[in-house]
Amino acid sequence: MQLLGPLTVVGGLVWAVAQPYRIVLLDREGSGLYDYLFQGPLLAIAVGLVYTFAIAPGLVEDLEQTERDGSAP
Amino acid sequence: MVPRPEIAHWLAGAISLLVGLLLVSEVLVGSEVFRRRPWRAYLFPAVVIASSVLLWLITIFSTFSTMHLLAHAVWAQAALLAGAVQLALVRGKLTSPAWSLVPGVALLVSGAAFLVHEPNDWLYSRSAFLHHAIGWMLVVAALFPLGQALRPRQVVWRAGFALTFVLLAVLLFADRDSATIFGRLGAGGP
Repeated sequence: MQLLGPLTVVGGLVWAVAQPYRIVLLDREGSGLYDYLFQGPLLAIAVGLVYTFAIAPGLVEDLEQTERDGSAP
Repeated sequence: MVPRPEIAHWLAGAISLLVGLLLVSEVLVGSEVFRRRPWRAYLFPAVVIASSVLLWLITIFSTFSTMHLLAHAVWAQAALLAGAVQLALVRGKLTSPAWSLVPGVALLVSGAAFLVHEPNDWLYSRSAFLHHAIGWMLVVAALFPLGQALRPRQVVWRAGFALTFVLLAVLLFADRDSATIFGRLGAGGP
């Protein structure tokens, strides 16, 4: 479960390397704000980071707490 | 100011990916652990309802085509209904597993809307191919909530429902306004 976020980030990075023309910083001609911020690889990386830092830590904590509660005498 | 359709679709793909990750993690840790913190329990219905609001916005800007306007309105309405039912389930206002049928109907109607509003056949272009692929995927995926309603304890239905959103994200990320079906491989399309 902890791997879901990092795997998503890695997927976005691999995608960015495979299709570098999607990253506007490398080729800025005729590009607007949407092209800078909302490219597929960047969005995938952003979702992975949100999951990794905002959702996964609390889930791990609660899962460990539940296991401790379950094993308590 | 208004984003190109492909950018709106990539944003929808990002939302779908987030929903998919949330649902997959709920399947992995179990609903009891996942809902231990109230904000996490409310996250899925909140994201679905927020996405329905964004879909209504897109509906407003879809004035270039009546079919697109109607299709986006159907998706917005389906997302709003599914999100509202999920919110009521989390709040404990609804308890029967049969309410899982509502997301099922939402998926079925959304899939049908994809299929109906695409006038071209599968191999016409990337966009046409994806409309058909997403449409049929959602129609088939409607079986997962049906399974949840009939056999709520079997994890396969919840896992299938979760992975549906991950696959939907992949297909939405693959969308381009104008492209051959398999990109530089050049297969299919104009």
